[in-house]
Amino acid sequence: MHTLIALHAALGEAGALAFLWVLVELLNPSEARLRRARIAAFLGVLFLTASWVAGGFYYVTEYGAAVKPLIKSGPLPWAHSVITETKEHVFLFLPFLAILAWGLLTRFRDEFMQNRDLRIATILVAGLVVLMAFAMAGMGFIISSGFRAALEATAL
Amino acid sequence: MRPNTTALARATSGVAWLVVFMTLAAELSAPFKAFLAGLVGHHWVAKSLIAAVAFVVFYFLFRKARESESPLGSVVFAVVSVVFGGLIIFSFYLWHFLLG
Repeated sequence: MHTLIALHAALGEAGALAFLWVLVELLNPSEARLRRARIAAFLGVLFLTASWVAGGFYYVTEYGAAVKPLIKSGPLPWAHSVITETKEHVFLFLPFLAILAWGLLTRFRDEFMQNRDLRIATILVAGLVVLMAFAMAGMGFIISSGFRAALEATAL
Repeated sequence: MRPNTTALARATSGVAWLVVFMTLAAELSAPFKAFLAGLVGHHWVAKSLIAAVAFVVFYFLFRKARESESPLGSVVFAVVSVVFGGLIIFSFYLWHFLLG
């Protein structure tokens, strides 16, 4: 496993967990819970942005030259042609969704306790961040499986 | 700092559709992909930087509009844009792969 991939995955999962934390705090908000939600959302933005940079650096410097050709010539070429291609582009939505969730929490602060629409809006965004971030992890597993299958096919 | 959440939601929607457009256009047009790669050395890095810059530009453009008292409508539009944008990108690459 490459260090950058481990960093990319760990930061992405930390970002997902941060927004899961936001979602839970919003289910029954109080001043203290909203303060924690703002901190979690801010950390989530940092984690997902750092994951973007780490994953992008690996993709540009290592993946294209060393991994992509092997997967495409292996038994699971769709792992690159469909999954990697989708992942590398859909990931671009995540940091902006995360900023939107953090912006909602920062702008409306304690209004969440009285305003149900605000809670629904922010839970929707935070929930989508969590689902997409875990979907990215699942896609990462499929890509790794495609690479492993290609290596096994080469060795055998 | 109190951000304008209507502008943030609209900027998120705008970036989602811009990413969808750049992704499909780069696959369908070799000159466009080469143009993106020529900007910073790699087409994906160019898409990333364009998305980040566009988010800031969209935010400042939309910030001039009055902020809605309830952001639910613009947030739902952003969520729908991201979900459909993701499905379009996945479907495109699946179709591209199946057609060979």
